[in-house]
Amino acid sequence: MILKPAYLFLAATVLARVSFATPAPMPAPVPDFIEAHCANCHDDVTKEGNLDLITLSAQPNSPQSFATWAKVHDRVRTGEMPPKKRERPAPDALEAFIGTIAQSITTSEQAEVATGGRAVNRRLNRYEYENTVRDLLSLPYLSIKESIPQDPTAHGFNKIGEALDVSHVQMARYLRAAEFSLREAIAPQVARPETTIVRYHTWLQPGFVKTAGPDVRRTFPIVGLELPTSLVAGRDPKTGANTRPNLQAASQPERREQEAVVMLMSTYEPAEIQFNRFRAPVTGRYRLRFSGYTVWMAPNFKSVSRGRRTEPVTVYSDTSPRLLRKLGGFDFEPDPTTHEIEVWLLAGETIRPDAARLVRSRPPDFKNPNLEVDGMPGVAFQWMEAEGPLIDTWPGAGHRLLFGDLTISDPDPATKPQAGNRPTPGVRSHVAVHSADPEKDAERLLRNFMTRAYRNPVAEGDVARFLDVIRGALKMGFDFTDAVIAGYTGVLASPGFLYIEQQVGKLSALALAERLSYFLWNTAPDAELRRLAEDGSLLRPDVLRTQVERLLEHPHARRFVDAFLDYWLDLRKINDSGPDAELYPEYQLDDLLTESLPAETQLFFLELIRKNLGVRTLVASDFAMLNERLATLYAIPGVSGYPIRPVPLDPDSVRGGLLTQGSILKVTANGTTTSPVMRGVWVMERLLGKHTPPPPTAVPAVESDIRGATTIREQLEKHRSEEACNVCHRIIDPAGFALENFDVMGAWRGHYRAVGEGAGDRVKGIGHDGYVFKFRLGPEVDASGALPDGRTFKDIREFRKLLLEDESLLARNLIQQLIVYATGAPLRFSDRPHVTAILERSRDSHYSVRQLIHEIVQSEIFLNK
Amino acid sequence: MKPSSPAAAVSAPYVSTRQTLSRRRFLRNAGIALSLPLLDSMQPVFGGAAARAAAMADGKPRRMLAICNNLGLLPDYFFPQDTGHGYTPSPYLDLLREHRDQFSVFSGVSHPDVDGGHPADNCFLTAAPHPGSGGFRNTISLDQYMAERIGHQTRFPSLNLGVNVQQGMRSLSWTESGVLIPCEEKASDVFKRMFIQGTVAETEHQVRKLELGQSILDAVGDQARSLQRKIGSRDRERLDQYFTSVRELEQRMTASKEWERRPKPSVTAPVPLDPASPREYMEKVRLMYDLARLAFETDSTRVVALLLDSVNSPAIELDGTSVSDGYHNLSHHGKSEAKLSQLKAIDEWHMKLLHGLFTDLKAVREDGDNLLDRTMILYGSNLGNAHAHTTTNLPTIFAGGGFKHGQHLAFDRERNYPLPNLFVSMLQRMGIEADKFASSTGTMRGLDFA
Repeated sequence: MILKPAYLFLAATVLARVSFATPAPMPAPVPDFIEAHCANCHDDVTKEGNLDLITLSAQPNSPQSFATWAKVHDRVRTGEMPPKKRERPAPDALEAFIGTIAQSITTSEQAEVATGGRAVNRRLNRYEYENTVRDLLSLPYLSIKESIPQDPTAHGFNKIGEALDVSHVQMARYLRAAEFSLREAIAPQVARPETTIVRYHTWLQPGFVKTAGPDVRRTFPIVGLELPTSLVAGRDPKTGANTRPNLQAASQPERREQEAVVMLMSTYEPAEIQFNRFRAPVTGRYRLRFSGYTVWMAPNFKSVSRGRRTEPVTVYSDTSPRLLRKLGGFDFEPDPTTHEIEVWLLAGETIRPDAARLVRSRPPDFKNPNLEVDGMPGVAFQWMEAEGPLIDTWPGAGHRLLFGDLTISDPDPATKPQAGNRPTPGVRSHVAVHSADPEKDAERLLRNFMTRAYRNPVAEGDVARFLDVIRGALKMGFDFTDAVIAGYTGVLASPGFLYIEQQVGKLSALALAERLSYFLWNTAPDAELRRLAEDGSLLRPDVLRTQVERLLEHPHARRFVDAFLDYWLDLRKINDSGPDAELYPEYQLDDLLTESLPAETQLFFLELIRKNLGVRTLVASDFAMLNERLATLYAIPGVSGYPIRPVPLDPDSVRGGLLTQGSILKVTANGTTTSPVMRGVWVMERLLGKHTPPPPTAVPAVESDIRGATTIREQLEKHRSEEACNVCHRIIDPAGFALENFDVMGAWRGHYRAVGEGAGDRVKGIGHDGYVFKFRLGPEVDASGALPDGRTFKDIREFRKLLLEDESLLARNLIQQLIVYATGAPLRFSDRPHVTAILERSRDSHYSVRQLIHEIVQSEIFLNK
Repeated sequence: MKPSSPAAAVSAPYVSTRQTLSRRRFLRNAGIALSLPLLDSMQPVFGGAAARAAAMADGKPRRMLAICNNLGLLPDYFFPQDTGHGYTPSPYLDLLREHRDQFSVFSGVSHPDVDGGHPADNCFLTAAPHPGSGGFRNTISLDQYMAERIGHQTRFPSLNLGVNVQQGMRSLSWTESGVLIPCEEKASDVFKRMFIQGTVAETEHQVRKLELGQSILDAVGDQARSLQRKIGSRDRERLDQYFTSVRELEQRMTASKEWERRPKPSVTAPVPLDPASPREYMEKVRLMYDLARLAFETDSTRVVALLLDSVNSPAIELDGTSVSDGYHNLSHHGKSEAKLSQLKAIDEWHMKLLHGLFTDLKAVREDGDNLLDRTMILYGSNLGNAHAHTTTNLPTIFAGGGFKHGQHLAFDRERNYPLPNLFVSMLQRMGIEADKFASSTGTMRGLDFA
């Protein structure tokens, strides 16, 4: 990862477009100061650090020179330059110097903002596009994000106008995504599907009979706690083939409620259980109820007894070839319980439950980490009850938006998708709409659709444009349905829909509603925001404040949290690397763990907003958002069950705050090793807003070594003994050192792990994948360090305290990150006073995250283009 | 250009009479099952004589296949110790010994200032500097540069293929403005587009749909134009880009419409079965190699880029070796013997597949040449050493295409020679007037036209 100083690239892009009325060099105080204090090193001969200030101050200013001047300004202001060993400049000369530079840059930037605005009009990114189309067409499950190319990032986010390019490929993809979504919204059939309640017993599901041995991979039919051994799959002694019991025939109606199937393994090939007699008949909302309990299986697999603990069960929808969507989860207990989840299912999907804590046994070891002397835990599944589809109106709201109440007829039965098959792309899988007066209906429908789709008033010319598309399509011989869809497709790919358009200066009420809504919901303004924008009242600070509160309290605020953290904290990269199989067997194939990691951080940030907590909580919180799996990872006792909830932490806990969350520790590692440099750079940049210049290309990178011979710290010490390296490493490494006690998944470690013969003791154990541990203990971890100013720390606890000594640093960084995200524009030199003002105004709230959001929304930066 | 003659005599031994073809073999068979009359009938569609002449500086159509394996190869087994024409093959290159005179190996080459580790694969064909840095913007890739200039001469200006590609994040193909062009993952889709003839009704339907698409583009383009009048210069730039993309898509639709009415080359083999799992990595690579050869053989395109996204690949299936770990995890071998031996086995498979590709291309005759002589194949990586993420000393093989080969061109391992120079040589061999590409400083030193 190569990082440039923020001000460098920030200024470079920002200033690249500055126009100069009269390009002139910096005024007199600047060259005088340089002559007196800088020219010894930074003249046109020595050019220390490749910086020649003599030439620079003689030249007329340009965007490039401003970029350098901003750097000079910051170095001198913070006292980094002139160097300590040199004579200090007189305070007033110093003030005049940095003041003149600041003034020059600011004046130039302000001139540019006055003519073009801070932010450039930009297109929606694919997160925003998906949400906007979902809300417009009332299709909450719609998934089109992945079919649009990933958005470029700049300044850390996917919201920056200058980076959000459009290519012909993108254009084609938008058209395709738009048409796909529109057709999804049209009713699949004329008749309202019947809502049914059907119970699917596990004995009657072929998907619950698993016979491929070893025993841990088989399923075991039970009645209550009785295990009828005659129905257990086994090996035919003569042929050696697996026997397959006929559970369906053995099932008896009078005891059916007591019949259950036991899993000893987490759902994974080849033991993939499914309620496969159920397939969602149409796309829609369903209530799924699951009944089951936990058991204890004897070591010889011949009898079961009452379970000894609860077991988490996760639920996925499944379509061939193993396309899984997580639907939810709950806990089964030793006594039978029933759990209900309400979900969206796509036509043809079936349901796959998973006793997620259990082993995922892989050849060749087939060991079970949960095995005890007298047996092992198991989960008994009794039945699933499916209620649905749950329909409010038929056809749905999306269909009525597109076609009102025009007559519809069923699609050609030959092309209608059968239950169990996903609709074939390109085949029309929805009703045909008929109009007696196509021209008139088309215009009426189009006008209504555009009013809802566009966030600004619809121009007559635009209605005419898309009406022409529909007319043309009818003329070409397309039927009414396809012709209107063509017009709508154009609308959803047009600049009016795709672009956020703002006029220079103060935002109009509509533009403000749009910016606010894309900030906190990542979607277009809803009806209430639109109403307040249309009557102009949104421009009143009190109304704006109330709306921020409303948006943050709504479940859609989670969209903001997820999208913001995906970029700010790199959570989108959570699965970019997997834990090394040999070094980290306990994390292998553990879906519950990898799903819980980002959820912890998302719920943590949401909790900060909801509970109005201060910014210091980002670094040190007295609670953590945990479920049992996370608590196990963190070695925190007393937390059981599936749901993630706030758990109080001991005062001396190493946990608390973002830095010690597994998600963060995972995205800053590579799966095999951790690097204090990578983690240090990440912490400085993401939490403190301090950017590090890239390493010189001539210096070889420090290579990790997992043979256990040397620690990364020892290797770095060598590196840091060179002054050229140490200049930056003394700043970036400390944070990374403090995190050395955390492995690639975020668990605490006292020793590194190593493979190979020379290393230390073997550790006994069995991984989540059933493999016997092979790694050895490596050298001891040393997580101590010293900050550049000399303050030392022993470990993460002390390091956190040092970070908290100035919480305004954390607040300033968060404000900056939020502004970039909210306005889609990088921070400029001239924005600095606004940031400081926001900081001042939120000090009394201890910089609560919620208050920061309010202050940003009420600031000039947010209220202007 | 004379009609390309798929030398039936040469291909005869490959023609299979079995009813069912294994996936491994089908494309090989498909390639030579082309019927001669159809090739003749295709002849008039390839533009006018002038266009043809422009594409053939020495009267021969040239092709390019650029392959990037983004985890590279273990350097110790790849680079030969000695240099020049008489070099001793390294263990890996020994697997290509049959083709020794048809390829060159380079050492001490890299793209200047293309650093940043993994993201550098996106710059393999662009050589744009500092891909890992914050303000990075990519530039046009070699394949697109070629496609813009000679692409109109074939049904497809270029093909951008991928194996296990992290979609939207990785590609060898980039537009002029640095926008990513996604890779095609499914051999069957590409095959269908190249060879499956639609019915008249389907063709008409397709044409009608393209016309409808154009009418939609007209409308949105119109709106963009009307908005441009009302906004400031920076905003106008963004809208200009939108407008350009609309226009480019429209042009492509026009071209598609024209090609829609022209007959496609006919092949008798069935559509390939795409491997279901990313674990079947090597099989996917093989299918893509076969597809590229077929595309060249039928002159469906002359430019193919192929990204092997090893970074994004799980533990792969390998005949004869059990692979325990994801490809990417393996590459961070930490000098573990177990991991190194698996990586070596994987690398050797890469060499075997490359050997197969060279052999297959040699077996196809075109005029007096074999197809390898007319196809430049660049095989390389953005990483010199994946374990350490270094982007210097890239392992590079360059084969065929009308160059004098059979040598190890060794450059300074401390101060690398710019690889973009090779791109300039390739462009010139392609008949494209170019003396610079990205950070090139000239043409590739020591590499001469045959």
